Amino acid sequence: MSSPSIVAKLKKLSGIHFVIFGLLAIHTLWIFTHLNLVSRDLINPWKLGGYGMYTKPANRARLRIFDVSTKTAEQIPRMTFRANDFYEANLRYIFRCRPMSKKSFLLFMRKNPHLTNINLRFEIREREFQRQPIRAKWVTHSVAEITWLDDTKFSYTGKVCDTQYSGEAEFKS
Amino acid sequence: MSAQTTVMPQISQFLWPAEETTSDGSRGRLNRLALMTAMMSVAFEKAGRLSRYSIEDGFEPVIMITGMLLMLPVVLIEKYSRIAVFVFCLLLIPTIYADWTTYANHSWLAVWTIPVALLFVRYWDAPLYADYIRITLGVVMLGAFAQKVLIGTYWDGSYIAYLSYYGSTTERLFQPLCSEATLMAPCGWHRFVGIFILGWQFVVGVLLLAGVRSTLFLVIEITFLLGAGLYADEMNFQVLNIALLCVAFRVGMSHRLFVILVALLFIDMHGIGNFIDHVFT
Repeated sequence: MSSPSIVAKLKKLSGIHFVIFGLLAIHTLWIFTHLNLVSRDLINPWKLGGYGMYTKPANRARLRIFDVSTKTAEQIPRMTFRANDFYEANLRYIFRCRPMSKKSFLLFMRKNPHLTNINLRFEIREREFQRQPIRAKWVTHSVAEITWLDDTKFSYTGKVCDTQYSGEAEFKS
Repeated sequence: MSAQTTVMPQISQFLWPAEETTSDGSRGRLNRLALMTAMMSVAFEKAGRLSRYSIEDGFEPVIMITGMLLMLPVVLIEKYSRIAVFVFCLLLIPTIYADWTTYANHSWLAVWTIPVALLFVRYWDAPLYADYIRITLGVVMLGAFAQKVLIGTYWDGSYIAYLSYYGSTTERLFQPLCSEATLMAPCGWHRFVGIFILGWQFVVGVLLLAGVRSTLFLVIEITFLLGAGLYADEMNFQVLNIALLCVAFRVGMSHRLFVILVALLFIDMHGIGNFIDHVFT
């Protein structure tokens, strides 16, 4: 009895109704996906349209770079290198468990020729919400090191979310 | 019998759908004003970023924001309203493309709602558009509720305790309720505030999905959103929410509310906390 009335109701719907239903369905599905990614700590809840802002302090991920050619591993002052392309190539550090990409290292070297042939350690730090006591503490979340093999070639190894990665890159200035 | 007649009007005031503006022209104008306010919140958010503008960024951001601001008054003109919304959305595309990874959540809400107006020849008269906005806001409220439950920082009050001691000027509102010991174990008041926010967000989400359009509900929700905006020093999102609620409830944007929201958008560009600090020091 009920199925013909449902069919009749569906026939009354216009194309716009179906577009609206589709948009609502996609939006809802994305919110569920976002929740799933947040629950596995894979993304920053403040971003990507999942409405998880104000659930904990914003991560505010930052990059630190150290010169590991020296024994003391000195930090390179932030004002002396350009990291905007590196930031963009690593998708602004939003995907927390994504390894730093080969492309990002190459872009970094292109923008910072004064740092070529220097072995470097890249650290991405972010604020972690802690409950005992309640505070937001800066912790190193992702690390990668590049080692120059010769004037034009370097290898890199890194670790993020308990996953290790490595590779080699050819650098032409 | 007399008890019934006195009680029933009170209940109807609580539950009666919000009165739609009567004349077609007036309704349309107020609905267009509501959507324009939503668009204005987006434009102001982008304009705020110009403080970090450098000449290396090129002229595109300036042209885009100027274009967006110029489109706003055109939205009010019935004949050109849809075209203005279209141009506004077109101008928005480059920033969405460039900033999709760090695009703010409220900007995403604008993306899900404002361009959909283009599907309707007269979006200001389209009940389906109003219903779409209403259901979207309901889903967003429940999504935000689910995120807070998932992380658990409202249920145990830890985020309220955190903001009370490490937050900005306005976020420290609830600090006097508890001593610093709340940072070791959140005190009862901070837990209460956290749970209250959770409960409120859930109830609003459910009521929106259920289609409740009581004027009282709208007024309480607008008051709550303004309070939340002041607390979090983030008025932009609240202006967008309020404007969209006015569309969803089919009442349009009242002129008084519009003036208040525009003033808040201007204050928000410098931060409400900074404004308070400036006034009191």
